[in-house]
Amino acid sequence: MDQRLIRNFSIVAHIDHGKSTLADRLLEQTGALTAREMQEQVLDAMDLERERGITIKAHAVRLTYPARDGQTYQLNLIDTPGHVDFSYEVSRSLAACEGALLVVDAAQGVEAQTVANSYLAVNQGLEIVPVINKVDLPSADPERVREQIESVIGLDASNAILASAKTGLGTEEVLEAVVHRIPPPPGNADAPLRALLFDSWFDPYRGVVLLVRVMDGRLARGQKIRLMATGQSFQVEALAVRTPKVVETEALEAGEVGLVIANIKRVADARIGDTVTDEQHPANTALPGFQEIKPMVFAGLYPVESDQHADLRDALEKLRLNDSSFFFEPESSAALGFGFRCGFLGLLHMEIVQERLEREFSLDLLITAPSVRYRVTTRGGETLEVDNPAKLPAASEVATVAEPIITATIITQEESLGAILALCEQKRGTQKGFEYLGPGRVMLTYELPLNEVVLDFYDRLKTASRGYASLDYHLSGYRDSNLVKLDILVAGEPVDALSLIVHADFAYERGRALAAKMKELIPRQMFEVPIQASIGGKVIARETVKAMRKNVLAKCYGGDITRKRKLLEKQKAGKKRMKRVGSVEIPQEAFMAVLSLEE
Amino acid sequence: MLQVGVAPVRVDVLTALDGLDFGRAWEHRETGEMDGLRLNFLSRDDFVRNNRAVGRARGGTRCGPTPRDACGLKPAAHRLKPVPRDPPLSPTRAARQGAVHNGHEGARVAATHAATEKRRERRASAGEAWGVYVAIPFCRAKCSFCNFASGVFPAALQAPYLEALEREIALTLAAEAPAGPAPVDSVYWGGGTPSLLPPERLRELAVLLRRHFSFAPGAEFTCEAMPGTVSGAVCDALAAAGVNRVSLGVQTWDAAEARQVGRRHTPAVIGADLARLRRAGIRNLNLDLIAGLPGQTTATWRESVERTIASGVPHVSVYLFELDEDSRLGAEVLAGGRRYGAAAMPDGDATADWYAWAAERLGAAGLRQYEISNFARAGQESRHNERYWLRRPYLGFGVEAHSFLRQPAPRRWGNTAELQTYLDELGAGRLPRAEAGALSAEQELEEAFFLGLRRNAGVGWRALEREFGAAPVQSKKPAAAEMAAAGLLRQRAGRLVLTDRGRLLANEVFARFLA
Repeated sequence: MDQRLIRNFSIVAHIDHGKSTLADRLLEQTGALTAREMQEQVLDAMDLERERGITIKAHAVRLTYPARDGQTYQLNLIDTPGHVDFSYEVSRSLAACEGALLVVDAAQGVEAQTVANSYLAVNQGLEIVPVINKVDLPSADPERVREQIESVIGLDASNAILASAKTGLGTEEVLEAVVHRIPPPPGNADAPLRALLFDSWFDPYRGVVLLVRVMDGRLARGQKIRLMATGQSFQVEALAVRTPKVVETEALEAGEVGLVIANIKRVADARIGDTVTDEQHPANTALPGFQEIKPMVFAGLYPVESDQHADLRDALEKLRLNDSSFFFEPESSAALGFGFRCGFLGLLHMEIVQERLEREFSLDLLITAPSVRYRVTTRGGETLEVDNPAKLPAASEVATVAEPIITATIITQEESLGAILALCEQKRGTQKGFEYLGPGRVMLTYELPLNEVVLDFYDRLKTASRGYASLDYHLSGYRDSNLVKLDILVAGEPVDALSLIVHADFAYERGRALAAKMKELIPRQMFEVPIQASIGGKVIARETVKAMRKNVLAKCYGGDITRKRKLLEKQKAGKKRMKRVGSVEIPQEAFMAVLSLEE
Repeated sequence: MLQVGVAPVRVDVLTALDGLDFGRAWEHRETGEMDGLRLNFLSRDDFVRNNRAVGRARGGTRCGPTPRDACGLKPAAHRLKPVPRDPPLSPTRAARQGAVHNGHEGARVAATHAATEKRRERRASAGEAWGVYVAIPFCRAKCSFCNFASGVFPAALQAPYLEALEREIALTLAAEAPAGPAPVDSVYWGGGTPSLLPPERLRELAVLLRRHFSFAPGAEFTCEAMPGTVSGAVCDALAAAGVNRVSLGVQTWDAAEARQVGRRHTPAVIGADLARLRRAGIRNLNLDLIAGLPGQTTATWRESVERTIASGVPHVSVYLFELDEDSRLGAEVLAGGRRYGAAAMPDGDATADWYAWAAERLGAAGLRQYEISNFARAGQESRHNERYWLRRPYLGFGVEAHSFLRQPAPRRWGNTAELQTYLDELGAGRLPRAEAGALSAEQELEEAFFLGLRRNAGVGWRALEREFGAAPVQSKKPAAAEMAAAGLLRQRAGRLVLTDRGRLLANEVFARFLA
């Protein structure tokens, strides 16, 4: 394929601004799929993706477009993940493109992810084509949005395309803009092979599938390749492109995007951002930008029934085949027994992993409150990384504790400003920026401790702004803080899985609130159960779950013994879903109680 | 009414007809001749009048006392006309005659009867006596706390319902007891509100039961009744039917509480009902009480218990209001609403205190607790209810009725809770079952615990081992030990019994005995 007739582009947008719908329209318009084959959000293949309306994995689909200039172009649409948790993957997907469509909702305007993703695209040197979507909505205000794009992001929006992905309005203009405004891939077809690996996943029949963009040279079937970051070599067994049906091909030329199957067994061997080169004639330098993915959020995962421990390990291993961005290692808890400490890219990622484990592997899981990774310096001068609050050394041994800090961008309506500022202050934030994005809208920049954000910040931000505020963040460093460990004792015994690391200033308040919440969540038992919160061995709050008084079927059901049995079985099953800690049955949600504290 | 044969092959002989009196029918009679015999028939007009009176749209095409006999009879049989052969009987006399077969049925009937008796005898020697439960789902109003299959159904459904009951009995016996039924030593009419059936229906019901079962001498025969429905006529009908025990669903003596849940009675109404029942010779009486009704207080609860004791009844049942989706009140409470007094529900712990107080107070008054919900003077425990806890066989007929038989293999089944489904299924000649299943030995053992422990006598280890073998019974000992350590069970002379506290936490204990 003539390189000049290839265009590689992506679509960046804030969630729900219509990215996937626009992609559907482009597929339809170019005849990649007939209307009969269309299924909403074609590119989101996983059930979870369709249900949540988000994209978790990247996808690439090749469209054939006969443009108005009489030439037929190969358009590679690269659909990127759409959530802050996956920003590294987004950046790699963008690196595979020369241009991006920036989709902005004509009614909602610029949101936090619009800003974050545009900056990512600009930083990759991409040509950006603004598309103002949903112009058919009664509340659409394209002119205001055009101004926002210019003032907030600093892009020329004078030639922004007005579109409605829902009705199909502007689809052709979008395709023409892709052809004429986005440059063809540069790349040297005669140089040694360099292909950017920008996603990979595990296919049970074919092993690991790589999604690559050939930058230089040529990738052909049968070729021996090497992955430059890991140094491992493989032989290309098959090459394919998605149209979106998978079509096998003999070679991928410079500038093209496609799938590589090379008998790779583990996703961990196919790291996102790695460079694929030729084994015999390797390139001198790898493509820039490769990073090790580091998890940001940590939680303990335990089977509710301890005999499911091996099943959980198998499931985690299988899941990791398909998602190398989460990590796990065995951990044991005095309260919960054997489980795993897992690291995730963010809260959404954590939820997705948990949901996939429960859904795809039918496991009943207990997950502890999310935590972050602290850097602890002991009095002995040793530095430890602590991602499990229970592992924080005793206060007497700790010199300093540093916590991860993020820089958060929040865009909100002016009405919610007061509540959001109060929330950021309460969450120990430091204001770094305050900017009006035109009348009534404000962009805030804050430095916030990540541990405050992983608890309930996002939910409370949504509440404070009645759902209007948007948030994006990135890790910006570590900072020493006055942090202490808060322990919860149930029936006199500390429950390690309930320990938290909190700022000393909030420790009392949190302890009291948490004890009160636990009292609500722990059902009455056959004996009285005291619940205490303690810091450094000193009890700061106490609540009591009173002993159960009655649980009896004192009613005549004639001879309906089956009903009685069912009732007993239901009660027994209910107990099974709880975790027995000492002699107390604790329901799963109690381990996440800290997430639902009202402050 | 007299009947010959067993449904679906059955002839009903009517001794009285709705909407007609004998004198008038005799005047209008039509006479014909068959096989040289002169016969009298009802006039066409009277026949139509009778059909209208029993709620049938068109006369002449089908016959029989009930509209639901869509059985496989030949057309000729359908065209038989009812022939009054006796002057109308007084209601009571008719019932008694129905019960004893008064000889009008002829030799063929006598032969059938003798055969039935023979089967009954064979059966009697083969096994334990049975209990029979009959559900009567008809109510005047649905009480807010009620979660049974009952409701305000048209009275026109009463006759079809009795018809269906009879068909169910016949089909059940054919399927479950081919060798014939065992003698019956307890009968229980539950509801619903059986006392709402008109006297003639009560009689009919008793007759149809006696047609299929033989009652052991001294059988306990209970009928549930709602305060205010026990008229003199109902009392007479019950007594004539053989009912010797009545359970009155008082629930509360407080008129305001009663009104709140949909009842209209006052203490005076209850007192009058009890007096009428005793006058009719029914002295074995039970009163039901419910703790935990909306608006109930410690004072009103104690008042209800005291009045119950003062009424002199030999048996009392104390129930706890059950909070579930199946009653209107329960659903409202769960939904956080205010209707039916849902906002005035007493505290659960207070209800537990009331129950404990009632148990002590009733005991002091000579009404000893013998089961979680039941209290009685010595020797007046309900034989029928004891069957359930002692796993003795019983057959239940009617909507949502449940059955348990041990021979030849232990099994339980239960009927649909929908009246229409019940009628439709039986109309089509099918048993109206919603569930049925054989019991494994493990299930039986579990039941032995969770039913047996309901009784104050508890369960005996030796008896259990005799029935189930040593190993399975031993496997339950750790659960027993755990619950004993928690103070909910007590070992006493080789028996395991609930403690006072254990009775209120019985489900916690029982669940431990499930595998």
